[in-house]
Amino acid sequence: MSSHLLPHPLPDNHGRAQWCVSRPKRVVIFVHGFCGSATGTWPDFPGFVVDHPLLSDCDFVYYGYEGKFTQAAISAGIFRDFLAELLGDPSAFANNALPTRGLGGRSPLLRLPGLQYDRIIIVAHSLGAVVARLALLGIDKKRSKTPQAYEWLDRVTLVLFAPAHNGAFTADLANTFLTNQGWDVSNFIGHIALHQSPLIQDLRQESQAIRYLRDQTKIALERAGGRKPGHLAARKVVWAKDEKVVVCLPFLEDEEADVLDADHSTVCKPKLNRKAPFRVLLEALEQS
Amino acid sequence: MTAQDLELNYFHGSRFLSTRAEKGHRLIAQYVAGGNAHKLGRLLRSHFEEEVGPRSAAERYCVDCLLEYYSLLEIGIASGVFPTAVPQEITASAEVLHVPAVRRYYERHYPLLLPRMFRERISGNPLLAPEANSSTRARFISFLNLCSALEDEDTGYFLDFLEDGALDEGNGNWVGMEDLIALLAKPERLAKRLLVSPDKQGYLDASVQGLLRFLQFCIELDELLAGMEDTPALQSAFWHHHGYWFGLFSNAVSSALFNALDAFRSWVPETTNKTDAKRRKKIEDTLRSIATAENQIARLTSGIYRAYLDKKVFGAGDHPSINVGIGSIVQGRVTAVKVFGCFVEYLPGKEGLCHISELADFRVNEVEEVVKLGDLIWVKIIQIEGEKVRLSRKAAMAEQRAELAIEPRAEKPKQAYFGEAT
Repeated sequence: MSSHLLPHPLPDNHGRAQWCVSRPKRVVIFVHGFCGSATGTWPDFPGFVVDHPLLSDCDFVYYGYEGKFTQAAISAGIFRDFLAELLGDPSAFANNALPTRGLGGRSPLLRLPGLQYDRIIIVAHSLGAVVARLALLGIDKKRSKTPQAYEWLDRVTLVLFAPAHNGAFTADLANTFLTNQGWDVSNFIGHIALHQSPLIQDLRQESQAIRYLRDQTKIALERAGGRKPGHLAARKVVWAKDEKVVVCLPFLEDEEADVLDADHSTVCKPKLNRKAPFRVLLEALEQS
Repeated sequence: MTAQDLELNYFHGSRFLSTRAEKGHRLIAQYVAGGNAHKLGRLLRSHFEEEVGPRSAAERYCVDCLLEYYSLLEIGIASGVFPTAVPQEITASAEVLHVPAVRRYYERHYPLLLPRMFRERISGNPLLAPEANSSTRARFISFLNLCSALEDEDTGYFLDFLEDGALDEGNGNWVGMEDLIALLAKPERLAKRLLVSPDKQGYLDASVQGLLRFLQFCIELDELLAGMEDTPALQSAFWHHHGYWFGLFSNAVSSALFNALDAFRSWVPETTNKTDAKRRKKIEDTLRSIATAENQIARLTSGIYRAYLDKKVFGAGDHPSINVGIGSIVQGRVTAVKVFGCFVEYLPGKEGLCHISELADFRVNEVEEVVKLGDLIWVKIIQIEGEKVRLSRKAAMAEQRAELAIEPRAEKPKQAYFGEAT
């Protein structure tokens, strides 16, 4: 029996989802980085996860957003609302996204109301780490007013590949503009091409956005009173051995980072002959 | 319901049988039911021979989506993801693949193997046995993911350039592949183009982005295919699904693009005049990366991935490249334009001359009025003397018109036809 359906587009161009056939207990949400895309940044994960014995109860969401020009805080706001919709009522969200046209209205996949995920794993790359952390901070604040609406927040685990939460060497980040699209001529033109993007300004070391993220996370951690909530402190951080884009420094209460033999763009991409990023995900799922 | 049935139902109910594909199916059915087979034939003509207006282009796009759906069904069955016993509902709908005008469209005008293979499958003659295991399934999923890369709007503009040569930006301002190539040859201008914000981008700006994404797609696809030596049929099927684009991209177009990009290699902006050793190393890395991409694209545009299914479908004696001779109508690319006519490569390594008097059924004063370098055109082989081959575009067009019962263009203005189309 196949464990998962084929990846399918989500409403409102929010990327793709790979729904599991059985009743899901966990959801893994992938958030791409600067100039990435829902399918381009994680191209081989959908093939790896399908039929894997440890992942048969996981839904997979490959979240997509505009990651070239839109400021990180704006993308974070949109992602925050997406999370609230997906995780507030997972059954309704999935049922709305599942196609039923070819199933004659008798879809065996439609999910019963009341489903809640036991674990929520957010896997983010580069800028995606900033977007995800800002979104979770936003939800953390909202929860103080309406705790019951966001009780799922306690079940979040963060897994970060080459996170940009300490800022980036922005000229090199601009270079990824083209490298992510396959044409690495940008080492010498990237900084010209994108230096005007507000997103690049956001990701400068010690930019307002980066300072805000660090200060607000610190306050939220203090409010947590010695605990290290999974939505504020990453359980898994991975740096690339050949990292030249983001600043590799510990971030507050995050776990110590692992290092993979890769560069900034490939650190999160599993391939048939290089499964290390996939193993990182499996380890995180086992720990969660 | 088995897992495969579920998967197929899901696929059939999802965007893969899109609204456009359904419209394409409806369109064909309407033409056939209305006894308008000749109009369908005209709608589904080769656009390399005669320009297609926007309304017809929209309808043809729906037919393309339908053919893509059937192709993916064939690949899904070959991957073992979908059941080999195709449900009656789908089999019945796929009867449109037998309609002569549709067959000409995917067999002759735009040769696509996969719809042909699916047609054979539903007729009870499957050409491929499924190779079903978790690896083929994973590869099919990766392939579907890759396919989505071409849905990007910018990539669409680039592919339009590739296919149509030019797009109207409004006010009669046409931009096309030549402009794109010229732009790539001038890095300073290209850098400025990359600065244009998305809301102010024109077709040319967007197609630059699209070209880069297309190259990324090529690299990813080549990586996927290179790891599929153990499943050559599936490897070839994946290639054939996009083979049309590689055909257009190959030869003149890709070399022109890569020649233009050479300018990039030697270009270093003023800001990097004081380059230190680190930056020099980066530039060297860049050049290596370009070389890698070129190799991957060269593999995709060569015949290595296509050959397996070509042989499977056409067999040794029926391959179109084997049976070509006097009287054959073949598609070829214009490799040189001269005052007296043009040279056309109609098979790999085989060229013939199409004299100016054989270019069209009207008087042609200058060859470039009709064809230009890199164009794909249909020609009939009218004479072979040793190494010398003479071709006629006029004869090829006449035969195709006769076959489709199409009046010569001059006697039937385009508007009249567009007014009749539904």
